[in-house]
Amino acid sequence: MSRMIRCCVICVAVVCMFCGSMVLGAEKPKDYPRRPVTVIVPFGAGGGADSMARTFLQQVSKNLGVPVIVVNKPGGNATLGFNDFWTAPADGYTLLQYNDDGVTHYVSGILKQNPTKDYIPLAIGQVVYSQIYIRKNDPRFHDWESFVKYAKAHPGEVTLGNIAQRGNLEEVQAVQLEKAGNIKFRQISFDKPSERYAALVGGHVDALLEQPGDVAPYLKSGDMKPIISFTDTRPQEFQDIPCLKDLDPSVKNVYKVRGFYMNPKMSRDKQEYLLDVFKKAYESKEFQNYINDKYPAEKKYRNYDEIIALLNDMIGTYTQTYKDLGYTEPQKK
Amino acid sequence: MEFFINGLIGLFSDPVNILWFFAALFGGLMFGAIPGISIVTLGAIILPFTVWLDTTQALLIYGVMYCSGTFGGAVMAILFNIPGAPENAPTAFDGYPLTLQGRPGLAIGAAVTCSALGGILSCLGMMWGTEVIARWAVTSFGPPEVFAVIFCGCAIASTVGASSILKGWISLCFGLLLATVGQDPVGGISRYTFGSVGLSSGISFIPLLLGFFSITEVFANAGNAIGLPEADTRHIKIEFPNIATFWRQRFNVLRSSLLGFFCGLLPGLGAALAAFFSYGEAKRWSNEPEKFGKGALGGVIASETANNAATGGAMVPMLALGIPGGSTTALMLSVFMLHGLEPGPLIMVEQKEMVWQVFVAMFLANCSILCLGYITMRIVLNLLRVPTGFLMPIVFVLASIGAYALRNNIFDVWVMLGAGILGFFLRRRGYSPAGIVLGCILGSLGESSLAKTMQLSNYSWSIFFTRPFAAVFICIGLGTLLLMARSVFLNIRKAH
Repeated sequence: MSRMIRCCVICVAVVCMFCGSMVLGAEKPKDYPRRPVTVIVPFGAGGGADSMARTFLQQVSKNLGVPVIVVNKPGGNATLGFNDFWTAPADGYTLLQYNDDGVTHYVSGILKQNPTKDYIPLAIGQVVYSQIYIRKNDPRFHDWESFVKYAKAHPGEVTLGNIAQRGNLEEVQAVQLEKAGNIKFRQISFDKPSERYAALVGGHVDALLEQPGDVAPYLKSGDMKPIISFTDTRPQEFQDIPCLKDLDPSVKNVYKVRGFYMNPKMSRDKQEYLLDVFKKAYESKEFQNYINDKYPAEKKYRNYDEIIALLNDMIGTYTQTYKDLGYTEPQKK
Repeated sequence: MEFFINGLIGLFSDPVNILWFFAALFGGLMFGAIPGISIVTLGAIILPFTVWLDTTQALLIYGVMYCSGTFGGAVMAILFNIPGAPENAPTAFDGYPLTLQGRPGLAIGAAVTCSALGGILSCLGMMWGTEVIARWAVTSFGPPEVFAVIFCGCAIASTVGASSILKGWISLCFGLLLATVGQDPVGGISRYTFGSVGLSSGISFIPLLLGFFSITEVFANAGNAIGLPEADTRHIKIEFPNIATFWRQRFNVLRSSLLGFFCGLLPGLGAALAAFFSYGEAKRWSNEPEKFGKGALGGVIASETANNAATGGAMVPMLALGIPGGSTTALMLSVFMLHGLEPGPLIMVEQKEMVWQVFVAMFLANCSILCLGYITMRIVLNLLRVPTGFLMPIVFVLASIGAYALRNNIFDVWVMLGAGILGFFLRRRGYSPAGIVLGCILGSLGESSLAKTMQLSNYSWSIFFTRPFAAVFICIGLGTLLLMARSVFLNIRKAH
């Protein structure tokens, strides 16, 4: 009798454990993680990518139960950090944060690795849109119409502060806008965000291309104001200014996509487990508060297949855009 | 004044604040003194932990660390010719010769006093005009002006540390050449990278600095196989530069404070340029310029006053406009953001009390440098008693760690070793390793601002002469160049 009871108890326990793991998500691999996990951020400390990574990874660390170490490794147009990730062993202790640079570098041939195959996504932390900003007290123009009018009256004179590097998100956006508005900018490439903002506020450039979350303080203080959003529909916060799709219905908008990646050679159970941990971190209250403050272009969690679809879509868009723009950079075969 | 007193009360009403104040003061001193590992390293390490602190406390820590760390680097520069950070490099030019002459106390005493003085003066400037100055600086100084200042700085500081003008220029130009390695600041096109990943991110000036100063020193010591010079450590006392010495340097201190504050104001220039710039100026205005580089106290004073004066300057655009001038202020910006605050024009209205507490903390930190400096220096001077055979391996290890920690990249360690070997020979030949480092720092800043200027002006050089501030600095720079060319020419004629 007692043996039967014991059997029953064990059976119930096994069933419970099984169900439990089903409810809780992927099962924790037996001895992973045993030591701190490193996440390489190929951008400088204190910037937009870094601040997102730190907020997100704090939640990841809570779920993993080990510290998550953020290693900032800027340089080489965000390829230096990538190379470090690429050469690290596929043991799940080195992960990567990357943004749309991963896609544009792949399409333009700077990196050979495909972000959907050679290294694979864990989660997308942020998708944000860009806007064009002008000074609020600029006597020459005050909105998109007057800006275009001024630009047409003074061809080739309007300067746009940007982090344009050939083929990156920001440059593609500026070119799209030139086409849509039938105007011509002189793009001035500022590598450091602070210099970029100072250039607009101090009156050294006429306009600035940036994401609203990064310039929120200037919007609040009234130093800058947006005149157009690079979106398909007008964002809720900026209903009164046009979006790019209003000007050019054929345009395919691109967004700043910041996410986390892992090495596909890592064991299956670790992959499943990490995907699950990153999902929980994304859905945590703390991180949700964070992205809500940063003017997100979308707020939903994407699962693995959805991210892959997004990345493939981005690759397609950039390939097509490069063709349209007539870039003759070494194209990927 | 009212705000100052309120800030003081706010700061001292909580004993925990005082605790953090001293912790940050010592932390900054320590990390500032260890070569290669800077207060930025410390700041980045503790950043995640500041979430649990009060905003004021967190900012207090960074403000105080910033002041004390900038001074901390001077000690190693003077005692062992190992600058803790690039802004301490000019301190070593004259500080180390003073140590060799058995007067390290004098150099450190001057460094302590002048760091504190420069810091205090710039704090006053920061308290007086954060709002006004920040706006003025950002509006008046665009890329053309920044380039003009850098050009002028290069021209003035070019001969720093070299045995002749020509060798100074060769050193500087070599540094400028090194700065072009990596991706160009506009199009991201790779130059001189030879397909290497390490080179594609450029040669950073930190490993160069460590190599040229620390590693060269290690080699030199190994080569001579003699200990540090017979500075009689038992009798080393901290000599105050006495009031008379000091009175003679009054213009130097004032000029360096102003230059330091000014360089700190401009985003991206910061303390390193401030130190080199005022060193060059001090040499130019001195009655005995030939003594510079051989143990002139004026050199130590200029460099240390200016780099601490830059701290107050850098706070101005950070607080008033949310524009950080360097990595430390960028970290402070992150602290603000972690606590849900955003620096900008509104902060002086909305968070006035907190901002003033930080001001007061930085002011007090500079005052404490004066007292603490004297206490700790007594201990630090004992480092000179450590036999070189033990000390140099430690320096070697620390420098390697510092170079690696910069970007977690082993490539930087190789750069450091290469620079060490090169520096060993260059220095014997009278070239200036410091000039190379300066060229490398200013080269990347200057190139980027020149590229922007050219884009802004549609590739017309006249922009440098149609904007008044730019014109003034370019003219000073050109004038300096002409004078140097003249003296080189005269020397050649005399030789014939």
